[in-house]
Amino acid sequence: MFVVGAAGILASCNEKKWLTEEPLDFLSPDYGYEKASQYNMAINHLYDRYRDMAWNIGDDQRQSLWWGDLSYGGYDWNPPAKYNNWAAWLIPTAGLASDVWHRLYTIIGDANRIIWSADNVPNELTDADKAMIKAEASFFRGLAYARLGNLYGGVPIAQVEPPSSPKEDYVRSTRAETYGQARTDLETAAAVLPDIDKTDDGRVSKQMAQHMLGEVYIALAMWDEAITTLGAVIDYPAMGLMTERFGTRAGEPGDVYWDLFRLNNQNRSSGNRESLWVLQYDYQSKGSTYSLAHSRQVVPGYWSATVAGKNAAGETHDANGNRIKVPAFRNTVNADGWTAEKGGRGIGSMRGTEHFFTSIWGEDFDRDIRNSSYNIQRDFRIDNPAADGYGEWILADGWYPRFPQSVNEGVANGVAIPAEYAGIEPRIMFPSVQKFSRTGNYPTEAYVRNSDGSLRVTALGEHILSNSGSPNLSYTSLKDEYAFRLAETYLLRAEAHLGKGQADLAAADINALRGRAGATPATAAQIDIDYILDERMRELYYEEIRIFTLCRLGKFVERTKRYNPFHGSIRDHHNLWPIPFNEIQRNILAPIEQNPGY
Amino acid sequence: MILITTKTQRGGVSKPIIEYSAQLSLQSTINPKMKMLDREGYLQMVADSFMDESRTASSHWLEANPGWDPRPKFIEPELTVGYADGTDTDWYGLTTIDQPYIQNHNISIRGRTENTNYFTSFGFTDQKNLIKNDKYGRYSFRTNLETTITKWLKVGTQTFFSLSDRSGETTDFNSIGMIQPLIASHNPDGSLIEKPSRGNTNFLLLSGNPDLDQRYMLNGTFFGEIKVPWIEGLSYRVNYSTAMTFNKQFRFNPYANNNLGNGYKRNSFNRDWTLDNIVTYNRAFGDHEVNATLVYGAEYRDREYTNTEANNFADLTLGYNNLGLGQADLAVAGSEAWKETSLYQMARVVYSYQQGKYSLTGTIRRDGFSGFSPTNKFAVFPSVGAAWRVSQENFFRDNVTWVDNLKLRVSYGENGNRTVGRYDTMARLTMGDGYLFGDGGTAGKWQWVSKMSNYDLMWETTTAFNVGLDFSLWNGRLYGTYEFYSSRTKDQLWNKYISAIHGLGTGDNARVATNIGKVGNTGHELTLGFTAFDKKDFGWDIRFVFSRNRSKLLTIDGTDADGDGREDDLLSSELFIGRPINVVYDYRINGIWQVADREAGRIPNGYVMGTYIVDDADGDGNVNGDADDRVVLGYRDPSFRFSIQNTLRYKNFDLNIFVNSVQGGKKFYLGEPLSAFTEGKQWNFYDFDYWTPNNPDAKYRQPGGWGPQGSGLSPYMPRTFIRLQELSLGYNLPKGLLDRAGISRVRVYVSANNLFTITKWDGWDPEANQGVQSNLRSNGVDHYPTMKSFTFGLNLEF
Repeated sequence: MFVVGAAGILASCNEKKWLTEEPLDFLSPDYGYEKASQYNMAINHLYDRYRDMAWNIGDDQRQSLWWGDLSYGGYDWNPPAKYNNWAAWLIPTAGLASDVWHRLYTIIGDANRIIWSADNVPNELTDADKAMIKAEASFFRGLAYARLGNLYGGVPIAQVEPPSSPKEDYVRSTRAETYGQARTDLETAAAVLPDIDKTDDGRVSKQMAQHMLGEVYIALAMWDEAITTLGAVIDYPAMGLMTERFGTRAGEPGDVYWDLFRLNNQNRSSGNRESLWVLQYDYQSKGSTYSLAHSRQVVPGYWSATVAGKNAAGETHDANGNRIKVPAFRNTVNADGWTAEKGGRGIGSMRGTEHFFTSIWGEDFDRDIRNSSYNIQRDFRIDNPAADGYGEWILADGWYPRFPQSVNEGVANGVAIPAEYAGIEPRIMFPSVQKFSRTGNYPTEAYVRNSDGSLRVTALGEHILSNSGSPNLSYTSLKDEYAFRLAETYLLRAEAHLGKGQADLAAADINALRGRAGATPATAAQIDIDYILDERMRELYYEEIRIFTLCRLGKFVERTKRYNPFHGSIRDHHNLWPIPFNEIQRNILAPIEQNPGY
Repeated sequence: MILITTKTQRGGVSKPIIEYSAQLSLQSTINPKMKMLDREGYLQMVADSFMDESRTASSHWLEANPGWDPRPKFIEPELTVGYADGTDTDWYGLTTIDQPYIQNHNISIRGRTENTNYFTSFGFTDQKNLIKNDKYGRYSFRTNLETTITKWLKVGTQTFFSLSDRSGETTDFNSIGMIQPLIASHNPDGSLIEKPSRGNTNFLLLSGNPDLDQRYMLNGTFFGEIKVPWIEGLSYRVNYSTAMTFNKQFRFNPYANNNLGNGYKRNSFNRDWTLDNIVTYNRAFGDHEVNATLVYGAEYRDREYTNTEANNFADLTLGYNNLGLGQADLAVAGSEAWKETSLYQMARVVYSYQQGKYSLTGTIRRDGFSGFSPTNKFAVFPSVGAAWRVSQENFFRDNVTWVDNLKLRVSYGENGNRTVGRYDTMARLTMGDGYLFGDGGTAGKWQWVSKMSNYDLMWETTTAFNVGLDFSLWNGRLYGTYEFYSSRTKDQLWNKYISAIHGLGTGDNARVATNIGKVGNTGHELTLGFTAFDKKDFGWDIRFVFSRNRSKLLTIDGTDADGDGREDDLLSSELFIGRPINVVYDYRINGIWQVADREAGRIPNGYVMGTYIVDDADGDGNVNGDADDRVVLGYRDPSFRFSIQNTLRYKNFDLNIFVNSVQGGKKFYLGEPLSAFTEGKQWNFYDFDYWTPNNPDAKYRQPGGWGPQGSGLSPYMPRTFIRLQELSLGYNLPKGLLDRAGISRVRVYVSANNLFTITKWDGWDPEANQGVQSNLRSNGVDHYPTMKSFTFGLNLEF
């Protein structure tokens, strides 16, 4: 019976049916672009990918987004390597070259599929849905092409219809064509997307699209179009620079610039009228499994600082007669040494230049709120009771040497480090940017606790952060962050005015920011492109992804040479990044030309 | 189609035979010279990572700078504490156990009644591995039954059940290298420090965590065989085999989430069945003999998996048994499922004349697999073969008396390869977490198309030509086999990289399964046996095996984009026309930059003293990660392999010596002994020969820096080795003694495995490609070093 039965099963079975392949836990793309909910999920991926590039790109890659005139490598400086050695590091075969590239092309590929499917795949979208979805996808595609154009020059324009087999004959477009594609996309987005006060927090709007479009017009030297488009953003009634204290911490000592960066003060629902587009983070939400990570690079590795003190035996000198040194920021309750008040677990690998820390503030050093001690913390109190200087300021009271630029310049030119700075690392002690750290205001789960559940504090009353769990706690920002802020719209319009030869109008735009900051107004005579770039640094330090602006303007090399102590290896061709070598190699049927010099 | 025929008794009635075997293997790591750096070694490596500061320029960096303080270089605050306290923790010692072992026991009963064969056995394995708390237990039961019901009908079953238990959480071998000797492990009161560095939980604490990891496996084969009564030689057999595997992995870590806990239960169930219908016809007509087989079979496999995970527990006591105590909005639920099917038919006819003096074989096979696209599911593979037993010819038998057997075999045919995964031809829509607009509320999922389809994918086909020679000389004193083969594989399955412009990134998502070109293989295999002595009390057999294969890529797809009249290599896949497909394509290292080079200003930008001198192969003066400087340095596949087995017998003793070797020559079997070495200051390492000004002839670069090619650049060397793989001595107790005790056979033995290895390779084990790096992770799997072992064994038969 069993034999006959078994044979029967096979005899009756249809071979084709038997071998039909059926995915069980994933969908075939053929069924993935039919419903509005599916398009919404596809749009969510665009937001996530852009956020990933801005927040979560690898450590090395992150440094390269801010290097140049703003920062240099706090590690790898003696001898200059990696972040301090462009000639050896910014090369086509380095992962660095491809990390921004492939993230942007993933956004483009996704956006292309959304736009193509909305028009070509039978779906349930209404005409209004379709227009809105295409506009949102177009915004991201335009943004991605603009950024590719900034960094690499003209790039291949990807086929809109998702290729069904590998396409290996891409060629580069010109930079103008790349910007042209961005312009078309952003014009579409600006025409259709809703106004900023009529959409969700964190979603791109007409004003956001206009801001970005204005930037692309500038890149294309279309000054009038830029001025009009950026003006529409600035003049939109629901937009405005924040000039008064506001939000969650308004009652504490601080200033309005500090308020702009406190927890939950970025979305418009907090009363913030200045934000254009806020990348979203909610602690322990499935919608954000990571947060901005470059706070770790920007905060110094202060916990490595050692100062004169006593050892466990109470001795002040070792057997050789040298002073005993003890960690400055550690005591019996705090083995790690990092606290919320000092910005968490910094590693200081992205050290600001002297230009950023000092010269850029000039006579407004004490006036400009963007440089207030709330926003750039320049000293810390020693909290180790074993240190001679317990409770005193580590720099102001002379317990730790200030690391001078001249040492870097010496090292860069092969001069030995003077004895008094031997063993002092540039990454350990430098002014700490507080934009991404939230003094005493991390989510409570991020703190180390006593057994009774109370937060553990140091002898100086600082809150001790933990360093475990995912998302990585004490070295990421754990809050919403700006992708774009209205202050930048003013800076862009100033650029357009300057391009058109209207320095007085450019000065007026810049002074809108300087006025809010309490800084001395600029005169029309002062305004040139370098002044605008300096103002960008003052207003948007570590907030805008600066490499895009420097490369867009072709100023990366010149300003790095001027302000970075390790400029020795920079070459003229570094104003454009190398096309990733793999891309050239994989595109076997046509040449993707490398940028000159690489 | 698998036919299992284990240990079922055949022939006449026999009384039950009981067999018992026991085995204990004591293990140790294969290379005892591998030692992790201690405090002094680690601090030296930190100092050697910053030679510009830790040494004086005036001494040409030969002497230490007495005022140098390593503390500002430490990357974790705990290192500073450990530095001051004189901490020197032996993490290797704390993480491993002194005596890893494996013990096996097996007991079986077999016998035969008039119409029925039976066999049943029970096995038990107990294993303690190198890492503390890494243990393995296995219980297995097997029953085989076969009964002849009538003259023409036979039915039987082979069933097997096992329970494998890997419960008990452990760390992996690599974590030992990820903590430094300056980090303290214990508090002064002897308890373990909970977070010794970087806020990570002390991995020595993990062994106390609740952890259950069990696999239940049930296998059954059922068959029936009919000898068709009215046609002599015709029979029909049906085989049904099924396997079911249940996996349970339950784990609870109370230290996770800042001591609020993380726990999960993961259950999976895999099924696999095969049904074969086999018709055979086997009959001789005088000198002519025909043997025909027809097979029609199908295979089905599927899997389902569920994961339930919770975080931030209200109470930690109940662990994974009450996941409901986790915080509701942090719960994770996940599941997976897949299935695949295949189908095959085969027809084979063997014709032989005069007991195999001449024979001819013709086979045709048709295979179908669900993983190929609808138009390419099936492929047909024919083959033919012929054999001629020369020694059976009269003219030969009469003239060459010293040859007992000489047989010449030739075959030519095709076979297929489907090393393509299920769903590999399909595009894939991936959904995941997520994005949330505004503060508070529930996040939305995202989706994207993460993989490109390739509906043209088809079976890879290999056409092979074989010649074989079997021989036996001088009454079997010397015997052996020689094979030569030459094959062409077309439509080779290959995961090809596409550019990121497709929007799929640069990693695995950017690979598309494709059929490429043609690959040729030729090879020789030789087996030689020689009986040196065969006396009553003394025997000595020697067996020698040799094999060699060479592969060559003949064509890819004919692309000649540069128009030089020669097909282009596919550099992105490291495929080169005319070369083997497993090439090492990398920068050539011409030594190490020395102090004298530095002082003469000869070191190019991007390199420092102690880094590798990279060959400027294209001669353009650029050595900064210039992709055109890469050359084919050699091949990963072996040049040839050989082994020699000596079996000696003296009275009741036997001695077995097995030597195994894989040879690479100069260009084959290449590997990198130091494939994962980043920064000396960052982790801890096994002691190895790195460069300093005092050690200018070192094999490996200095620990503090590397060139523009990145930290991964390191020298290749052949993994050539000769190894005494097994040495065993056995003793069979004398028959007379046993007969009186009613025991039919007793054997005791001792053996040593991997006793010693002759090699120039650095590190653990050339064969397993384990070098001096502390990270033995490969292809996403954590490995232990290869072990050597001493085994004591006993076999008893009643």
